[in-house]
Amino acid sequence: MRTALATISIIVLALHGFIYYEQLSARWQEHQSQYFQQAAERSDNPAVRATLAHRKPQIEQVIVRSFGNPRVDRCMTCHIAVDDPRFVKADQPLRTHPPIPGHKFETFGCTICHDGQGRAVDAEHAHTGGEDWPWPLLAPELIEANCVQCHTDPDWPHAPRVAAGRRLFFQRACYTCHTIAGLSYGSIGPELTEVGHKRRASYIREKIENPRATNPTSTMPRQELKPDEVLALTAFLKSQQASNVARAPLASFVSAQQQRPEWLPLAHIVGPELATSVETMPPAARGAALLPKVGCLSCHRLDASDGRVAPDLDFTAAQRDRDWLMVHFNDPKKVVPGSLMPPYPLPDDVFDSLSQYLLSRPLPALPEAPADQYALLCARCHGDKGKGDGTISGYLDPRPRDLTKAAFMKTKSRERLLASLTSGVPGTSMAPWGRVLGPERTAALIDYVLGTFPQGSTREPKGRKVPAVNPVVYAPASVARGEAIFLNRCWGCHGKKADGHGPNAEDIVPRPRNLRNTPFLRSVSYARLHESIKYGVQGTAMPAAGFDFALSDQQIGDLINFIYSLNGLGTGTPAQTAQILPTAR
Amino acid sequence: MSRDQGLLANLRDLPKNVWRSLFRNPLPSSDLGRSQTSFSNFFLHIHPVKTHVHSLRPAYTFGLGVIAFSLFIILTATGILLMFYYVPSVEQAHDRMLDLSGTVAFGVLLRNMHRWAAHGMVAIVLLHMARVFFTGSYKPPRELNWVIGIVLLLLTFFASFTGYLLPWDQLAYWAITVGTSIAAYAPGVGELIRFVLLGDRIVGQEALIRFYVLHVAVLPAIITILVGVHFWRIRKDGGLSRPASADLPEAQSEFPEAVEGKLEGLAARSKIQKKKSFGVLGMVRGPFNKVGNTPDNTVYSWPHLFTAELFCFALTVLIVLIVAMVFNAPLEAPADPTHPPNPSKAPWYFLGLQEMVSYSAFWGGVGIPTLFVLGLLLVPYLDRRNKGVGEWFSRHRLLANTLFVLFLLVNLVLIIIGTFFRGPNWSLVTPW
Repeated sequence: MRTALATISIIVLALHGFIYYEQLSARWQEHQSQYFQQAAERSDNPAVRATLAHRKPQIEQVIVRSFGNPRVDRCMTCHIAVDDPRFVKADQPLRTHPPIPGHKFETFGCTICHDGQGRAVDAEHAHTGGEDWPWPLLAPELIEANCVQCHTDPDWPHAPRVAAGRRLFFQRACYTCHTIAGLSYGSIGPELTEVGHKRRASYIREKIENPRATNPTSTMPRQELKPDEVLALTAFLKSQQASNVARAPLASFVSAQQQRPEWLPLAHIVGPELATSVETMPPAARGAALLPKVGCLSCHRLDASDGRVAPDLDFTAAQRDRDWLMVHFNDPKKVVPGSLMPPYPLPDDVFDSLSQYLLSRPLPALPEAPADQYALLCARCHGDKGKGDGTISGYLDPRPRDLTKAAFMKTKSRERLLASLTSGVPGTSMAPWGRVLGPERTAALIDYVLGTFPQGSTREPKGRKVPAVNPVVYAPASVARGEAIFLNRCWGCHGKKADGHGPNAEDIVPRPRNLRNTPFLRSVSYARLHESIKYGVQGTAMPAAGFDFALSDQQIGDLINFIYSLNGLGTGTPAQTAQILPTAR
Repeated sequence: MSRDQGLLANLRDLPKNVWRSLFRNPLPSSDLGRSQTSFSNFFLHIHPVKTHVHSLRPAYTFGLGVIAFSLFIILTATGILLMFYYVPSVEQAHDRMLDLSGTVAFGVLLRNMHRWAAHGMVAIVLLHMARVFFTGSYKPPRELNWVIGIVLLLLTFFASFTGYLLPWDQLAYWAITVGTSIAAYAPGVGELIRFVLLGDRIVGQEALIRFYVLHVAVLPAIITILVGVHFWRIRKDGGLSRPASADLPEAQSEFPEAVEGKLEGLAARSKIQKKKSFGVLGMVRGPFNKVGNTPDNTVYSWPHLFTAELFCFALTVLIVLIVAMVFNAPLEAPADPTHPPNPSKAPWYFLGLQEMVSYSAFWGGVGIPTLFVLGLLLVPYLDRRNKGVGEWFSRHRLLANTLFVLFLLVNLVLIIIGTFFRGPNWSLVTPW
């Protein structure tokens, strides 16, 4: 025990000695001594030399009171030569600060421009501030994000990256999903009004470059940005620190509560020159000039530019009409409930111009061979090998069909598949390609797909008995019974909200159907729904409820009445329900 | 007899007289001298003159009580030094913490030592409680000491909790928000308790000054007094608990080294002493209590007990120093009431509570903890069987030990879940 005690005591004493040595001979004293020495060498004046010889290191601090809460900046303890012009070529920390006219250190301090932790006097704590300090030193190219806190004029010439970032914020459609008070309104992504204050620059940059790095379920599209574009956006977002929110006009706060703020003028989004110059153009030309600037190309494909997130717009002229496009522009979720596209805050005349432009474009030339037609028209969603894994398939809800599943493809009638290809599938991103190809080429393409992709054997469905209309009249009692069956059997995959996001849904491909997809449910016959429930859907995980769960036709009728009740379709069969959407099918 | 030899002679003898007035007794070299150390020194007088060797075995207590007290001393010392720079004002507190971490000489080390010693003390007192339970050392006559110990445990939690708020960073602010909100779930008086704790409806300047006063003045004073009573009770209860076999004479006992300076004839004639009287008069006078002559398996506290205590203290200091030099105490962004982090977690010793609260506010936050504390307090009054005292995991105490192990495991698992497996919105996440 005694030897152990002696050993430990010696170690403790040694540690204390080490600590005392480390703490009492700080680096900043060395830096200052070095400065005194070098400054004395560079001086010819003996009086100055004498003063420097007698000068002892001490902590230099500035207390900054002009900018909100008082700050204490002790950076000049090490950076003691910031205002000594003779040290322009010296190594840090003794290098002179580049001259910024009008910004005296005694008034501004250092951290108001550079961030960092001003109270510390050792390098690690001052520059990074420890692991949890939210405002580490800014990289030199991002300092302008702090300049614009006072220099708020958007045309101020000395913050080029922030200005470029602001343009990109609109051009790349960020403004449609993210709110920045006074600048944009979007309710899909997090609000970015004070993201520059809350987040480090490294975090912002990472989120822009790879949205799913830290949040695997983020739906933010990953855009193809060049490095200087990423830097510009980072600088712009880092400058959003909500420090001048009070100076934004009152109207912007009021109208920020509305879905479609009218205060977001076109000049705001595309710049004043373009906004004025398009006023005199005819609609189609106007649309041509505006489309690249309002953010469409950050997701869609048009001619040579491709955002790789959303469908190809080259064929819109054949597929859609103006009414459809206007409805879609105003609220994409009305047409495709699972759409990722946000409602754009643009006035209707802009939408009209964009529609006219898209509808006026000549169709690209179509190749002759069905294989090439598939590669041009279909592979973007359905994948090169037809597995439903095309470039944009991850962004579509419902996902594109996996054409290799023979169990599905070979058990559906050719007429049904042909109808999907010809008229599209309402409620999904499947467009009416028949209008692009024409009937003969559409038929050839269907045959090509059926002959090429589905692999594996199938079991032909035997004689099926499905009622053509609902055997149960639509009534609250039936809906209640259907709800009970749904909560008993169906919600595990289709979700408690019947939106296809049940707890089992993550593991199933293809995903369970969103049963609140009203456009889709309106477009399919009762018989088809009944058959899917009773006999299941081969090639998917939908079981045959009529057998596995012993549901009678009456019970299935109740279930379908319940599903209709979720979609406002209860007053009649789909064929009798009035169409709200234009029939661009 | 006058000690005054005249001014010059007094001046000449000054150093010797000063030394003698401070250190009246020389370092002991006889049994008499060793006995006197416990009477002649203020800091040592709470110790017994002789200590039973069983109490000195490392594998019996692991020195946990002494380690806990050493941590308390370290916390007091570092805490006082930190008080020279800390200001409990919402505008200044965080800035002062930055000064301590980055500017003040030794600031970062003192701060780290204080923080890790605080966490260590909570963990060590819990282990100390477990040791006392598993050795059955709460049984009569030691019930009151156990109760005092539980009260000290709760005071330790409270001291750590009040100190947690003082950095006034996001971690502190929201941990205290969570902790006081759990307290508010108590029926009837919950909101009142919360108001008394915070001095306001929200966590603000009132809460900060209140917690500061509790943390630096009130709680250390109460803890010191109760620790004094806790030590005094050890003496009154006959020293640390030990098994009956520890009192057997040399031939049957396991401690042959205990008996020193035995005289043959006297040893053969002496009776085995099962009950020691620690009366002052009995120690140094009388033929049958000549120290070292009775085979009672005790040794002199000087040097054995003091060496052991000093060793525990030095080891604690060493470990706290090393941990403080390697790991930095966290300091997050200044407290911002408008930006709660998601999730906001209580300090680790309350995370088990927070996990339970996520299932049921009343039962998890108030009901079950109250039952735990009541159970702990009542243990020595419900289990009064005298079997199995003084040994670890005695077979006579299988039920009690199993229940306590379960109690510890449940709390440990809840704390682990709360720490590692809970993410935003208190959803289950995997830490890897």
